Amino acid sequence: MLQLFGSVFILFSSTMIGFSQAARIHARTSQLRLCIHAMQRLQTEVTYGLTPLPEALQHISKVIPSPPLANMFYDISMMLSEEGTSTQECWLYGISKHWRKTAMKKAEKEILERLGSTLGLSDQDNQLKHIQLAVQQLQMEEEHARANQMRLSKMWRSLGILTGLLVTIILL
Amino acid sequence: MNQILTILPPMLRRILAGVSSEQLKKIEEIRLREARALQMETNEGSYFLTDSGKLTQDFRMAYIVSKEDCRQLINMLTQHSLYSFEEEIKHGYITVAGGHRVGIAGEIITQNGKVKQMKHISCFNIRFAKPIHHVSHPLLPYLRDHVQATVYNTLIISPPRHGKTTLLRDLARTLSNGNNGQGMQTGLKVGIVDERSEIGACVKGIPTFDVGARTDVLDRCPKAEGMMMLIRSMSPEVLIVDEIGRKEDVDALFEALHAGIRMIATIHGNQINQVQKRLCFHHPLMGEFFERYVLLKREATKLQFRVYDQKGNLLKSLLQKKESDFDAPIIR
Repeated sequence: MLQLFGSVFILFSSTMIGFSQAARIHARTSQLRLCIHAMQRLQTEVTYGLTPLPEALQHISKVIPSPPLANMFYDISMMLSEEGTSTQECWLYGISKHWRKTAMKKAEKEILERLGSTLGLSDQDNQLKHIQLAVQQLQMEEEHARANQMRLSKMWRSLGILTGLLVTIILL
Repeated sequence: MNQILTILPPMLRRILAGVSSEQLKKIEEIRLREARALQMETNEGSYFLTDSGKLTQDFRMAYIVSKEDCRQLINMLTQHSLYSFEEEIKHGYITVAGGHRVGIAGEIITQNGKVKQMKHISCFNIRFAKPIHHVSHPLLPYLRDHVQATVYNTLIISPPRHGKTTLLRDLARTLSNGNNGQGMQTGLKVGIVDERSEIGACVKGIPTFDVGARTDVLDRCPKAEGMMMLIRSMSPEVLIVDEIGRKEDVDALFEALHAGIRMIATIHGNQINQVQKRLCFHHPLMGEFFERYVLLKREATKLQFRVYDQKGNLLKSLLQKKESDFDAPIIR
């Protein structure tokens, strides 16, 4: 009886782990998409509206429908409005504080961090170039993620179930 | 004063907190130069500031402004966004909330012989704007055109930092509000083209100084173009602009004249005929354009107005004790 209960428990939890990993992969693509939207919005704010960075980021945080990303941009904008810290420091701090809560990976984190080192420091044309570069790189990551999404999520799901089965069989 | 303090780097704020409030009231400029002594100008003279906020005449005792101070100041001035202040930086100053103007100097990058950008910004001149209400009242009777119930085309002449903009702002307020005990019952529709954002000190389009109830402000607009825009769109009765002098400005003035709009403008200078000559250079009829000239001169605590008519005859010389009716600044 106890054995049966235990094996069901193991099977259930490993399946769940598999499913949650698969969900993370889906979440990553959608958050990448949102990130690209955010950068495109930033581009418009910078070139068309000439909106200062704190205000632009605040606008973005209001429209972006993913809480971890929205919080990230909001925190950066708040920090920029205070005195003392440099633009890059604020940017990096915001990213490192909220990155764990997003489903995104190291590659896109590096893209954003690189953007932070130039943001706000030059004229419009230059800003435009840097933001566009970031958008392009993010788009490549997104394509990549989308291409592998189906395969990877299927793999994680079956891996979860199969690992559960394996462990139960061994323990029985 | 308080608004300007929030943009200062923490270090400077600490130093200013050590300055007595008596002295703070007299501050007109704070000057930062990277790797050099921190300096301030008061209406009594020029001083250097030590680490603890004491005034000194010896620059060797003074606090040396660090690179970090400059970086923090420029970050706060531009809100971490150089790109949105490109135009201002090109012109060499940034106006912050409260109408205070921060002049900047650094290394200029040119393109085709024109100023393209400034980098390594290392000198700052923080100039405090202080609204002085009623400063224009004694002047008003001499500027009024009784026949047409409006004002004469007026040119205010003074060297820099003698209170042109302050006077202009108060004229806008008084003319626009009307009912001021100076005989003018209804106010006039006033249009201000505020190229440097100094008269109204608009923040997001809303003037932070009192410029009057019937006043429209076109913020940060080039003067010549702005005058035409206001004439067409806002039907002002009086147009107010700061610091005219270029050819385009003069052309726009004549356009305003044809539209029956009165002008109040300022110009740098200290003599009437000298200024007239300069304007005639752009347009031969300029000599007769302005019906009143006001020559401003400021001594330590007194303000001198001299009002001249079209031909340059002295109408009246007024001496006003300069009152400081602004509050003592509070350091946070």
